Parts: sequence; C-alpha cells; structure tokens
Amino acid sequence: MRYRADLHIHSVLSPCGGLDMSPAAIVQAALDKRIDIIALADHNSAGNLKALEEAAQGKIAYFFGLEIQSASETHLLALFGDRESAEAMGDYLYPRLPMIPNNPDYFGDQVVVDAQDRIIRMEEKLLLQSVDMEIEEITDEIHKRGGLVFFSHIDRDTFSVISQLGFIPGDTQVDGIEISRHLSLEEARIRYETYRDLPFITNSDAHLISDVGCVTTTYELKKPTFEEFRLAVRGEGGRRIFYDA
Amino acid sequence: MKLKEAVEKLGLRTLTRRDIDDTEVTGGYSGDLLSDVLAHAGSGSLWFTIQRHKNVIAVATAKDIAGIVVVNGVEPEQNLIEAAEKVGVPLFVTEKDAFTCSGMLYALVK
Repeated sequence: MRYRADLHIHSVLSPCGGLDMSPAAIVQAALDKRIDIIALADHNSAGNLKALEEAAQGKIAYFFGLEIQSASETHLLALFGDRESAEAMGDYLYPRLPMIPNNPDYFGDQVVVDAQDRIIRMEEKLLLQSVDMEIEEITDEIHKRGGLVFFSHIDRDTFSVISQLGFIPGDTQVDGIEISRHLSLEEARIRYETYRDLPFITNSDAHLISDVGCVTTTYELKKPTFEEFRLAVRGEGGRRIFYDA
Repeated sequence: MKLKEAVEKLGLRTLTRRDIDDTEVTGGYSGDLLSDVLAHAGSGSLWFTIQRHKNVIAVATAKDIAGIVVVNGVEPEQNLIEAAEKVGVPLFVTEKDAFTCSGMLYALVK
C-alpha cells in the first residue's frame, strides 16, 4: 500500500517553531491533509515526543524524530520507531549542547507541552546550537539506538551538509538525503545525481501549522510502521520510495 | 614567503610529519563553510578554520591550500590528522583565533 509521510515537523519546542505548533495541533493538521505518517523533529531535543505519542495514538501513524546540529553546523534528521530510543538520544545530546540560555525575545520560546496543549515547562537552554560532535559520531549514536539518519534539506544554503561541508563524504554511513520543499524529488535526483546511490526523501520541515504536509514522500509499505519504513529506505522486500509521486 | 617561516612567526603547532621546507605561502583565507572555501580560497593560502570535519582535507587538496590551521584551540581528531598525512596537506593548530592569525599573516605577506 502507498503511504504519504511528512517526517520532519517542528513543534513549539523549537525556538523557531510557531507557538500554535503543539503536537495535538500538528496531528490535527496532518489528519486534515490526509497524511498517513508524521514525525516530530525538534532541534536537538525529544522533549515533546511524549505529547506527540499521546496526541497521535489511534489517530495517525507516527515516528519519533530529532533534528541534530553537528559541530560543523550540519543538520541531521534522526528518526526512531520508539519513543524510548528517541528520548535516550535526546538525553545523550543534552549535556553536549553548550550551556547558553535561550533568549526568547530573539530566538522564540522553547515550550514543552502535553497532549492537551498545556505548558509543562520552558526549556531554558538554547536548543538551536551545535552539539560537540561530528556527523560520524552522531550517526553511530543514532544507529546504536536503532534509528535512521538523513542529511537534512541538502538543497538549502544554510545548515545543510553541502553548505557546511561542500559535499557528502564518500564513505558516509548516513542512511539517506532529505530534500527541502523547494525542490521535487524528481528534480533533486537529477541535480544531485552524484548521490543517487543514497535514498532521497522530502518533508515539510514545517515551523508553521499551515506548512504541515505541504510536501510529503510516498512510500510503498505493508503497514505504516518504522520497520516497514526502514525496508522502504533500503529498497528491500518490495518496499520502496516513489520518486515520481 | 616560506610556510616554515609563517608557522614560526604565528607560533603554530604542527600535527603532520610532512617536511614543509619547500612550501610557499602566498596568502591566507579564513572560513568555516567548506562551500565558501571551495569557491573563494586562493591557491597557496594558509587556511584558518574551526572546521574539523575530514572534508577539509578534500577541500584543501582541491584548492591547492598550503596548509590548514585549526584555530581557537580546537583539537582535531586522529582521523583528520591521518587524512592530512595521507594526501600530504600540512595541518597545524593554534590557541589563537582566526582574526589574530589572519592579521599576523597579512602583515607578513602583504
């Protein structure tokens, strides 16, 4: 069966995320747009994934994400099938972020909420920073916890592996490439022909509720689970990514 | 000027074993975004950066960089040193920042 997924959505915990980006609102927006699978991926934090799970349970399929910023300021989209692993990754990253307080006037608020949109706490440490680790080490830590990792929005001229590091290292262990909403997967497969050995996906990277699901990737899966998604990314067992959808 | 002399004047610590007696420095470049360095660094430059991903070695080779200086006391990992050794790009470290290094080198070569 074909499933449409938007696996890179920021919540109100990301300082740049809109204040109406609660997990419950994101789930509703995704349902309205008839999306089958979503993932929340805040900057360097798993803080709102519990609320996502509670808000999404029984309504829509969901994975657990974090968007991690490496020492080279390269963004990596980490995805996990279970909340515990994603939270363990978040716990691992937190002490590796410099102790710089968030300035909400400049960056925006970083709000941890529950599934009913109630504020639990404000995250005081600025999340929009680099962890003191390079891509290879981050990739190992994600894989150790059973996750998959993608270079975020490689066509963007900020925070992408190409803007920061010039090109994707030939021996990369990263599982795939994410393309921003500004380019179709078909176009991207031509522009980035050099990297065609890697799987390509696209997601909204939504920071505003109106952007949830503005682009999606279509996958051939038996059911909307993370293990099926993993097979599709690898192109195994008849599961696949549709590049022309 | 000779790279060896620039290294002495700037007080850089050398991480690679390569003999640099014959290497010339014609200028410098300061930058951390490798796409920018690829686009703008001149050949023969001493390159000041806080970037420590091993892609710097490929960029340095492509641009014929005289040497890479990792600034601000950032300690490169062993895999960067090994990659530099392998392609023969001299690698240095310093506690100084890129502004200070650039200023010192500017005074030497201009």
